[in-house]
Amino acid sequence: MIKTAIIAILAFTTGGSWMLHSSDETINTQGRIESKFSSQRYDYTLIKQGNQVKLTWRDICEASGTQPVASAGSDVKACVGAAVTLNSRGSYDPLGMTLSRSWYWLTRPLDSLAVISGADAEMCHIVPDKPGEYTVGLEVWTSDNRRATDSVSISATVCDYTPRAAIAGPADICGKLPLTIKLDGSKSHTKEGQIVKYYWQVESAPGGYVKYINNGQEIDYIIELSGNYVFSLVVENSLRYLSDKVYFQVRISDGEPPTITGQGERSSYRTLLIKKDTATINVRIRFESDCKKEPVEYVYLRRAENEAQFGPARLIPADTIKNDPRTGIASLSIYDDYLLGGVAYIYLVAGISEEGKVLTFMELAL
Amino acid sequence: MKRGLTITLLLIFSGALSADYRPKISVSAGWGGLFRPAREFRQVYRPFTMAPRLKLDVRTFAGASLFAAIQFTRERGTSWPDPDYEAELSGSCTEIGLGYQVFTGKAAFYPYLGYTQLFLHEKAMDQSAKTRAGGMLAGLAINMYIARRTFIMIDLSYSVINYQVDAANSFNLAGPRLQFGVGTHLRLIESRYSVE
Repeated sequence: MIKTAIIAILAFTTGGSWMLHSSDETINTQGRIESKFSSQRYDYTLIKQGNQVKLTWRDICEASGTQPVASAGSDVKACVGAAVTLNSRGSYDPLGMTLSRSWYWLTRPLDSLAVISGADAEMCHIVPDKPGEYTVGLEVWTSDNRRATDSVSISATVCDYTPRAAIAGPADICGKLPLTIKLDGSKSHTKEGQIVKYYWQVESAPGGYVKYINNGQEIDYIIELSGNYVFSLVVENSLRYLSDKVYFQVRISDGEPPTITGQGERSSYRTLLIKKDTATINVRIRFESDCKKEPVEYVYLRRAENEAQFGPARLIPADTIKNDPRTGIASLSIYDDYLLGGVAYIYLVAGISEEGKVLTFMELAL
Repeated sequence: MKRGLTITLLLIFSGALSADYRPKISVSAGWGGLFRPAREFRQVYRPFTMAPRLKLDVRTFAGASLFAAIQFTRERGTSWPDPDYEAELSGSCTEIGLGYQVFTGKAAFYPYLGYTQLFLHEKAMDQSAKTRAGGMLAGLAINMYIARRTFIMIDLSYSVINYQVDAANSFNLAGPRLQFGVGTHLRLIESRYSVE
């Protein structure tokens, strides 16, 4: 709107509402003035008409307080390396005019080279490259040059996105096979987001494949063979970050057989025509572990040194094995005769499992 | 073999039958004491044992005699070095030989030489073993007549029967023997020239 008025210079000045400033007492015929009271700005034109000055002005805003509103959004806490989106959607012009925008740095860490992507757009993106405080300014303006500014702070820190996997479970298991071991990954954690996926894996196992029942956080492995197993876990958080792989070793044992030690001596007997050698072997049976795998029977075999194979197994009667509960050591004596004099014999004392397998043995040359 | 033995016996007896006086065939039985000095034997059995012995003498020509004897032994011992096992040894010792009888009044001195063979059967340590070994013997028997056909015999002899334990070792299964016994004459055919 253009308003035109003829105002006497005096009156204009006396009124106190308007003041034209001129340092060299020369008044520009055109310029911009601003109200001292309302910050309202006007563009004026002075036209001298005789002894009168015609002042023509146009107020830059139609009314007081109609500047656009700039809104750079709330302050942001961000992670170094992670994109931050700033949104100026809250900016508006009360008169409904379209706003132009400009995002610009006010402050940023000294060594930061971060840039503003989309500096003229409603939303801009910033990737803080250094930890510290970033301040981004926003200026909005209308086509009639009404302007407003705002700023937003970004506090950037080094964030830990990587989740941490953790496995809890028994390290040693002793029991009758098959058995089930339960591994628990619930101690896995992440600073950012939540853990959403658990990737369990058998890294090594005596028999290769291991059956399992996967419940996510927990997994049940069904173990059929004794030995050392290595399991691993990788977790993924809601930010789709994967943890490092963590390993967990479990030693599965269906019991430790005892160790057999012993010593023996040969004795030679003869009569007038008959010779006979005997061997007496004192055997000690000791369990080194509390996880015991008890042989169901003990046998001994014998072969002459020059023979390739052992003879038939001879059962050691169970009632000849004496257990000492104080020391936990069982002992027995093997007495063997009808040996050939001058011939060395190899004795094999073995503990046999229920399946007929040799669990433990000792060889002794006499 | 049987034929040869039969012929031999017939020859012996025929010689005896032709004798004109003195006992032709005598049989004696006694109880002899055997001493086995070998260390290997003493380690298992007692060195001294008593055993019955039966002897048959056949006088052939002049004072020459052929004899055959057998002696049975049975004894117990223990294993060596530790006496943990019992041992039982039974043996039969057969002898054949040639002697010469010298009659002096009521006594006849009878030195002889012969071959002896020892059969041993031993049981010990749940085993049994048999062996046979031969050797030589020499002895002197004295027959002292206490009646017309009866005499007391004292027989002292020494036998050597080597038992080969292995290629390098052997020992003597026998040794000195002293026997006391009684004997009698068998007169199958009485000679009319016989002089008692």
